[in-house]
Amino acid sequence: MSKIISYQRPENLEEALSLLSLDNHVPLAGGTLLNANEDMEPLHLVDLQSLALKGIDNSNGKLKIGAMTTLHEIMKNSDCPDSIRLSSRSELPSTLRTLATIGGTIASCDSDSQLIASLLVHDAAVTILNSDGELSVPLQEVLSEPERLESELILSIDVATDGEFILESTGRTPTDKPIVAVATRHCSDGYRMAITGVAATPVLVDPENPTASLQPSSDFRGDSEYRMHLAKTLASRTLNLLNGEK
Amino acid sequence: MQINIELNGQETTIDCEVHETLLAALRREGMSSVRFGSSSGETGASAVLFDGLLASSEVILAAQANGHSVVTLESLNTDSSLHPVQAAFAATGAMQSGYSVGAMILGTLQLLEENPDPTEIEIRDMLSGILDRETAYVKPVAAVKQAAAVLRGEEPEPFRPLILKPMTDGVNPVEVDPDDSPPMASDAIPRLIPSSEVPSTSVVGQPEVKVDAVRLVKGNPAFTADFDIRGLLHAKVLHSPHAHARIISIDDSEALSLPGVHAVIHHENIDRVKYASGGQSYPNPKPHDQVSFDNKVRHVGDRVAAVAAETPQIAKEACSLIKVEYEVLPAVFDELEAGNQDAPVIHDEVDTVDIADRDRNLVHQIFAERGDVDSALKNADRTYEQTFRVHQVQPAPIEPHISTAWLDSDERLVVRTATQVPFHTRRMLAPLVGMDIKDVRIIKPRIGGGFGAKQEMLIEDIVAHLAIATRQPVQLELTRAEEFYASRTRHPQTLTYRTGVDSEGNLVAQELKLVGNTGPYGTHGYTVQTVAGLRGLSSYNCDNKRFDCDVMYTNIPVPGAYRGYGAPQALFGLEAHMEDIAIDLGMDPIEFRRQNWVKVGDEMNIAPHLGEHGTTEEELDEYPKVMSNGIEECVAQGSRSIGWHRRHDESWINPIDRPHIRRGLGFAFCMHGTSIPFLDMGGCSIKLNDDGSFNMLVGATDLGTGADTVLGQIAAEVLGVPLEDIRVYSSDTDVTPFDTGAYASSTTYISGAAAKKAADVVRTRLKERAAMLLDIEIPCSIELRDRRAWAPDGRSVSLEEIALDSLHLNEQEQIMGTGSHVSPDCPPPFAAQFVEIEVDVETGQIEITKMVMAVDCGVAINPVTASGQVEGGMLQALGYAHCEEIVLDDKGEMVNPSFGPYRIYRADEMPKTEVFLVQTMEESGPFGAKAVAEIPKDGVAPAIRNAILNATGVRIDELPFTPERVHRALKGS
Repeated sequence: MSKIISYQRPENLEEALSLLSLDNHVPLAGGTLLNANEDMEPLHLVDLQSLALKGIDNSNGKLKIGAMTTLHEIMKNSDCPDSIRLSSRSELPSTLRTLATIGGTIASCDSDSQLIASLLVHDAAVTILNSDGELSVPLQEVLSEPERLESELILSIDVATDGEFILESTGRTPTDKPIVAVATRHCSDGYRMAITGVAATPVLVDPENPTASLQPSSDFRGDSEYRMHLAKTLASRTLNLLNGEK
Repeated sequence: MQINIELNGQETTIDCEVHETLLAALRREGMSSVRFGSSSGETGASAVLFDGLLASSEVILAAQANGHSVVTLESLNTDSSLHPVQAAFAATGAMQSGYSVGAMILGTLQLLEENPDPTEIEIRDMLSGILDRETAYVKPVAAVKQAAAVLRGEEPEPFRPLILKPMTDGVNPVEVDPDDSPPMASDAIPRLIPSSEVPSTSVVGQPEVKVDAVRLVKGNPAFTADFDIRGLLHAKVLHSPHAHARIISIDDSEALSLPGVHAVIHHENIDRVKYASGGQSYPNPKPHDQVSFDNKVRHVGDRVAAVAAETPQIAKEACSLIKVEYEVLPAVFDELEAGNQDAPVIHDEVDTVDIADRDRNLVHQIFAERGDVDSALKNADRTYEQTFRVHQVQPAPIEPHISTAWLDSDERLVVRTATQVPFHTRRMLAPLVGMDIKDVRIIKPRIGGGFGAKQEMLIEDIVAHLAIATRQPVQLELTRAEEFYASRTRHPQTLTYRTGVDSEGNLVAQELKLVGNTGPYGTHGYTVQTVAGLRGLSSYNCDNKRFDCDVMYTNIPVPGAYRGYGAPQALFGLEAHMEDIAIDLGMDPIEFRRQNWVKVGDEMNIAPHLGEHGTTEEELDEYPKVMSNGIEECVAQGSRSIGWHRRHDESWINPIDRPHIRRGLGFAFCMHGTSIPFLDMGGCSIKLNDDGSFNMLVGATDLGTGADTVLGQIAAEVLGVPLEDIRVYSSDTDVTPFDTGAYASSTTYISGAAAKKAADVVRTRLKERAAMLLDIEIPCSIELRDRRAWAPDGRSVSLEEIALDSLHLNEQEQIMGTGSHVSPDCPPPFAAQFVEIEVDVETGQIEITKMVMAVDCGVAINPVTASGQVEGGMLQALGYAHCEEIVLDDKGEMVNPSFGPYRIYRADEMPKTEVFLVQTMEESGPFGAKAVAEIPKDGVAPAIRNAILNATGVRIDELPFTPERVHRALKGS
């Protein structure tokens, strides 16, 4: 547990933003990452649980998921596409899934996150609140500028619900965080593909040339060459499966 | 600050610090069932129902919980009865240590509330957040199913072993019919194949519920952290950031000035007393190369100083204020490089003696030979040589190391500690703190897993020094990261086998050259490597054998004891080697092994030379022999279960619908040991109580293995009473008889024999008393059964009547008996390990789809606990083979000291796991028992390796079988 200097639980968004604008004040969503980190600098925590940011709304052809909705709630909600539900389930085990939030998951920018990859291919857009008001930002832009979340608040995520989806991954064990995972969605205007484990965050790639300009880092689970191999292999596999090939 | 929560249905206000976790707050409120596993919440041991959903309280701030509802296991404990879910966990043997059972029971409640008839997938998903190193999740899944059935109003079948007909005559192999399949039963049900040689018994051999079941399923205080002491201080250790360095100076002044700090200790204020930390019999193998705090550090994580303070947070902050100046030295991590001329000398201090060659970092040179290996190899028809590398893994008990020390009213030192070796710890600790053994007391409460990591006097000296310095109780609990890098691991090794065979495929010579990596301290280095040689050269008949071993110092985190103790390493090499020889000879791999494996009557011809105190040939009258061996039945049962006939079925190996998958089957022959002959000793005392029940005191150490239960069953059988009439108290050096401790697979065999001896003494006296009461001339004609003593003419008297008579009425005495046992024998258990796998040949990912172990452990005193040991052992062995590894960077720092990056198997990814218990009658064991604790660790890795070979034609002779390693091997072929 990091050294926590203060804890506050604002009752409205204005209050929350005002607190987050102060030095060393950080948002606390589910807490599975923040509370587990023993090495962070002293922090003031701003708990978001009272800001009415939960909920799943499937009207208007798009799915809106409140940022404080837990992965467990997403998994259980039949309004969510199976792809998002399954990705939520595989993201974390049972005792952490009930706490972790979709907003917190996005803010983590975890390069191994299958859920983030799934959201990317579902054309996820993040509704963010800052001092200028609300704006909708494509998820891949949020991931490319994670520092913006230091002073902005994720309110909700909009995702498309149509299309077919396949996720292929390679890990040490069946439920391990993948070394590399490829999420591909086939929708009315073509394919979307996202890959984990090959960049600082999960990335959208060109399905026709998925590994172009990828320069994955190495770690003990897989070096860069192996990760590129996995990316190519799994990308091809997802496309074949979506095309009904074996 | 204050928080208001609804705790177990009651509105509760709790004072807490802003940084405090819900776990800490709940434990202060007396919720002992909620337990620490890791600060990341991965273990799930801390899980509670948070607004009705299972959630790890380690990662919930107490402040976050304000206004929420929290339910713990204690909510079920409204009276003495058990909730159906608790009863199901007890009845099915679903908990071994029980450390995480609170979370499992709460998760079950949540799941069954949502769905009264969950599928196995749903059950396993619920369990996915609760890591378990002990059960392989097999019986917990069964417990949930049983609980669900009961709550639906059904009456489930009693949880009993499935009795199977033998397939063999116990001696000869059989051809297994491919169309024959074993009877269907839940994986959790142990399959028991009885032997006609085993006499029938009433309590022994029965699936008795564990004697500590109530305590565990209720989450009652049982573990070291559960016991509060007034004035408790908390300790933290300052660890070295360097793999190898001298401590030039250490300035503790700022740390000491921090409010709340009571003591800071390090090499400048603690006496330099040499010792070796391995929990072993006297005299500990040399060299004694450790001191409590040294002026040199030898691995990243080595101890530099320790602080006692009023809270763990203050202690941690004080550690960060200790100023240490280091002279960083070069380091070496690989055992093959440690002996190079340019390698740094790790133990250059003058007061460590008995190092074989300190300048080469050679701790020990171990050598044993029978016959003439060189000549036999020269004359062999074919010779084979192979080298294998095995890696470093951590036992990862869910309960980290934890110890509490204090001075009692007589100012004796008392240490309550999670240890497997209380008596060794007492003996080893006393001189370090300048006290006599008689002034030191070690108490082992319940332990949340040990697996060998706690066969060590690891942190007891730290809390003892601090308790003496502060004159207050001090507790140290390692963090999960510390458990990884600052406790103990398995020894990495490089093994080279050379084998010669004749033209008919008989082994004529076998040599094992081994380089063992014992890290910076000798601890278990000598004995683990010796056992590797013993196990690596005992399985097969061969007149010419040689073991040649160098044990090297390096700067990796310290290896020590880990279940299997050299055998998993050696058998990986041996069983891979034998597989390859068989294939080269064109022989069936099982048939080739069968032709050479030891049978009843065969000598174990290298064993005495590789004991803890090696014996020369001249000193021996005869070599020990195999007296019981059920391997043929094991092979038959295992072959049938795994479908061994599919091994060459191309249509099965290459599934058409999944062109990137290859399937394979693998086998390994396992032989282990039972206790250390002439060394392991256990004692027991039993006394009669007024109501005809008994108190049994044993020094033996139950880690969750069920030892207390098994020993109680043995005593109950002798005394003719049910198990519930034996109250077992164990592992307190002031109160219980001596026992070497829980290691070397000795508890049932040695401590059980001691229990039997003590019970025999009591039985004799009971019969004599009964004879007096019944006016019988010949006491030995009396039989004890059903709590009564029976005369041949049918008259009887109850044990309660005997007790009241003997304690209060006539020629008063305390009827009691003691016994101790040490054995000249080491009867091996045997096992057939089978696995089924799938290999993705494009990515290198392997999935293990089924594991089967059929084991001859003699008579299983309790088949449920025995099968649980096999299941849990296979789970750990699976991790060893497949996904667990300690990874160090180039400076020797562990890069993955947390669950997740250090991957252990979860409930929702386990392969199908089956256990067959094949009975044989081992005459030297109590009621025919042999060991079962460690053999399950031995066969999974080589069986998987052989299955990969079957599936792909590729040999991989290094662990673990990670996707990248497999991919490179496939590419290379």
